[in-house]
Amino acid sequence: MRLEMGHIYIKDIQFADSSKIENGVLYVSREEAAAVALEDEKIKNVVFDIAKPGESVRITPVKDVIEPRVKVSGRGGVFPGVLAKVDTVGSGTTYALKGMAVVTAGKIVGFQEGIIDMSGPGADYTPFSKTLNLVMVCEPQEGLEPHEYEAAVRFAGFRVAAYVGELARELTPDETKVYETCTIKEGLEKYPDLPRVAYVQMLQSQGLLHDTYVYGVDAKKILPTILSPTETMDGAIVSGNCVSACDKNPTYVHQNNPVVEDLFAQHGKTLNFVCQIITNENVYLADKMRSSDWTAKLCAMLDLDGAIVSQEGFGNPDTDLIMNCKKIEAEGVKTVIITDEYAGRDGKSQSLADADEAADAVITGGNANEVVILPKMDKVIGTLDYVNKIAGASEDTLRADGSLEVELQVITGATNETGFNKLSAR
Amino acid sequence: MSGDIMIVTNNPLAHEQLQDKYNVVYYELPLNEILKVMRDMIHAGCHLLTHPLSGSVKPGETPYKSVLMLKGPKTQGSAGEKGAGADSESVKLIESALSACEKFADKSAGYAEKTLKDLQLIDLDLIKGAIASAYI
Amino acid sequence: MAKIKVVHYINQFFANIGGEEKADYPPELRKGEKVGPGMAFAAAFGDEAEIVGTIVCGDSYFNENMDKAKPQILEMVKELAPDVFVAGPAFNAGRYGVACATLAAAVQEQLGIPAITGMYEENPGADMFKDKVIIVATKNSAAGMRDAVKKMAPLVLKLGKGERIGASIEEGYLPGGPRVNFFEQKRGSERAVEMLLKKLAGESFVTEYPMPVFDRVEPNPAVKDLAHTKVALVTSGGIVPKGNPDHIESSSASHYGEYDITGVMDLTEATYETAHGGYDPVYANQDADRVLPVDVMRDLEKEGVIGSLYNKFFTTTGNGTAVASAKAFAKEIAGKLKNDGVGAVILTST
Repeated sequence: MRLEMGHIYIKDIQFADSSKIENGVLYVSREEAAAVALEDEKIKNVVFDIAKPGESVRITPVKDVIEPRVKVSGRGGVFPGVLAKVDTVGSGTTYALKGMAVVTAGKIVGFQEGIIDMSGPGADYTPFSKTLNLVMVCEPQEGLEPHEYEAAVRFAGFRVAAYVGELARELTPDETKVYETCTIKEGLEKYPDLPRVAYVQMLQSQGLLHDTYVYGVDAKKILPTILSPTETMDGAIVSGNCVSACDKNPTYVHQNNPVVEDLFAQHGKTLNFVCQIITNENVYLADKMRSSDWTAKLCAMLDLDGAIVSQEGFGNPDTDLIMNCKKIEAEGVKTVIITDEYAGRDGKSQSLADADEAADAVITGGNANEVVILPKMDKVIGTLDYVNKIAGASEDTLRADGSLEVELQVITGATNETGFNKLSAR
Repeated sequence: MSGDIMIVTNNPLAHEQLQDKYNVVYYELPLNEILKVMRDMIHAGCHLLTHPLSGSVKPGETPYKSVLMLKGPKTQGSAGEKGAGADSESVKLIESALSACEKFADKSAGYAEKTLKDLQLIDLDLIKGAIASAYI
Repeated sequence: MAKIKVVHYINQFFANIGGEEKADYPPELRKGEKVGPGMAFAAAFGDEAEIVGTIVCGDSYFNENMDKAKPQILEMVKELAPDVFVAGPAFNAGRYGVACATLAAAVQEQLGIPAITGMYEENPGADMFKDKVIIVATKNSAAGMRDAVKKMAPLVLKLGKGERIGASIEEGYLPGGPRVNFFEQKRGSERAVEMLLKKLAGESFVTEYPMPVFDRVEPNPAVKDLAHTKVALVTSGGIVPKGNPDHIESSSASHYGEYDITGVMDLTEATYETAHGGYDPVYANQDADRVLPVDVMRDLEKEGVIGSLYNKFFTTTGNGTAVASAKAFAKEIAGKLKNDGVGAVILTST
C-alpha cells in the first residue's frame, strides 16, 4: 500500500466568525464547531478554548487527543468504521494538520485523571504541551450513564477533528511524505537480505472506559490480525480509553504511532517492515492465552526475524506483554518490548506485575509513580475537581503555594508505552 | 460448567446485579482484603479465570475488584493434577496483585458517592466482559 | 552557607600504612585530617565541602572482625556527625570493597546519614550492596582515582545539599538500586528499533529494565526409599550452638557453620540459639527446633520413617546475604553432603 501524507503546519489557532485555514493559521468559528459537537443530543453543552505551548494553562481531565485529518484521495474516509463508512484505508492521500490537536476534556467519571500543562515542569512530561490545542469541554445531559456519555464525547471529538481537518481539503501541503509497504512476496524479492520485522501493538481492551476500536470494532472482540502500517497512520485505530492517563494511547498516538514511523524510517535500509500485528489485552485469562498464541503464530507464519511489542496500560496488560514476548521468542523471533514502570514513589518496588527471562530487551517509558511538583497555573481548562481530590488525599500534596505534588501517572502521555517520549528510567 | 464458576467480589453493584444469575461470593472488604480472600480460595484449590489487576484504574483509586473463579482443579491443562495443591499461575497472579497494591497511595478515602458508583460500574462492566468470554 | 561536612573511610593501603602485612590494622579515627585520596576529594569539593575526619581500618581486620569493627566505626562516624559519609573508592580490591559498601549502607541505614562509595563493577561489594547505597562505577585499579573522584565528588555535594540524584546512567553509579526517571536523547520507539537491530545482528545491547532474576531449580524426583535414606538438615535461619562460636554474621553472612549433632536429640535454650538478625529471635532462641527441627527428625529416625539423620548440620543467615555468596556456600555444602552419602536434605528458611 502507498500512502501520501500531506503535512500542513499550523502556526496559530484563533477564534473567528467563520472557520478557515489561512497562511498556517487555523480560524475556528465557535458556533460552527459547537454545532458539530452538539449533533449528538446526549451532549448538553460544549465550550471551546485554545491552549498554546508556553502558556500558564492546565487542561484537565483530558479524555482524548486527536489530530485533524482529511482524506483527499483514495479509499475510505476519516476514522473509517467510526465516522466514515467502513472501507480499508492506508492508501491514497491524506492531509494532516501538524502542530495542533483537538483535545476533549471534561469529567466523565469521578476519578478521571489526565493533566496537560502547557508550561512548567509538567509540560516536559506530556507530548501535548508542544501542540496548539483546540480544547472542547463537554457537558452531558442529566442522568446519562457514564458509558453513554463516554461514547458521546468520543464521537464528538472525532466529528470536530474531522470538521477542522476538512478545512484543509483544498490546501497545498507544506510537506509530503510517502509511505509504501510491500506484499509478502514483493518484500522477499526486494529485500532478500534484510531482517523481516513486524510491529506487534497491544490494544487496551478491558471494558468500559478501557476500550480501543479498530475500524469501529471493539478490540476486545478481535482475534489478533495483521494490518498494513499505513492503515494505522490513516486512522484505522481510535481510542476509547479514559483511564491510566500516563500510558493510555490517545487517538493522536495511534495516528502518529512512533513505532510505525521509526520502523518505516528503516524500511528497505536496515530492515523489512513486513506488517503491523494488533492484539488485545482482555481481562479473561483464556482470552489472553488465545490472543498471545495467535500473535506468536502470526509472527511464525510471516517468517519474521524480529518484532517490537508495545503495551498499553497498567497491571493486567503486563501479563499479556510477557505472554506475547515469551511465545514470540519461543518461535525464534527476536523481540524488543516497550513498557513503563510502576516501581513505587521511591522506585524500589517491582516495576512490572509479571516478568520473564525471555524479556531481555526492554525499553521503558519511565516510572509512573515518580513524584513531580506541578506549580499553580493561571488558567484551568476543564475542572480541577479530581486534581483537588488527588491533592486532598494526603496533606503533603496540596502545597502552601498552590502547587501540586502528584505522581507522573496523572499526566497525559507521560510514560507512553509506544515509545512516544524521551522519558526513561534506570 | 457454569455451576463451578463463581464471581468473587467486594463490589456491591456487582453483587446486586449478578447474584440472581450467577454464584456470587460477596464480602464487604477493602481491596487488599478481598484480594487476600481470593488468595486464600486459590490455596484451597480455586483457579482464577480473570486477571486480578483487571482495569487500569489503579489500586488505591478504585476500592472494588471482581474476579471470576473456577472451583476446584481446572479441567483444562492440568489433567491428572488433582490434589496437586494450588494452581501456580493463579498464585503468581494474585501475589503480584497484592504486591502491586502496596505501591499505590490510597486516594479513595472520601470519594463522593457518585464517584464510588462510577467505580462500581466500571468494575461491573469489566467482569461482565469476562462473563461474556466465559459463556456462562 | 556552611560547608558540607564529610567523613571519609579508607583502608590501610590508601592511608600509606602498608599493604597486606598491615591489613590487620584496627579502626582509627583521624579527626580533622584528610588522608590519601581525601586530598583529591578535598580539592574537588573546593569551598563547598570539607573532610572533617578520616577513618582508617585494615581490610583483614574489618572483614574478620566485622561484628566488632562495624559498630566501632559507626560510633566514630556518629561522633563527627557529618552531612555525608564517603568510603573508598575501592576499585577492584574485594575486601576493601565489601568494607566500603557495608559501612556506607550501614551509615545510611543506621545513622540516617547519606553515604556513597565507589568501586569496580565486579567487586563483590558492588553485587552485595548496589541496591542499598550509591556505588559509583570506577576502573579496576587505583589508576582510575582521578576519574572516580571526578564522578563521586559532585554526588557527595548533591547528597550534602539534599538535591535529587539522577538516574544511574546519568550520574555514573551502578544500576540495581531504586528506579530513577531521566530524559533520553532519543524517543523510546527509536531506541526500540535500534535495540532490535542490534539483537538481530547478534551485537551486544543493554536492556533498559533488567528482568528480576529468578534462579529456578528443577525439583529432584521424589526420594524412593526414605526409610533407608540418610537425611540432612541445612538452614539459612541462623541456628548455631550457643555463643555463635564461628561468629556467623547476623546479616550478609560471609561464611557458614558446620556442627556435629551426634547424640543431640533436642535443641534447647541452653545449647542453641539463632544468629539471624532479620527476624524476632525470641521463639528461635527459646527452642531452636522451631527453625531446625532436630527433635522431629530424631522421632522420624526412631519410627523408621527415615533411615537416619546426618550427624552434622550446616547453617548460615540468609538475611541480606549476597546470592553469589549463598551459591558458593551451597556448592561446598552439597559436596560435603554427597561425600558423606546423604540422600535427601531438608532446607529450612525463615
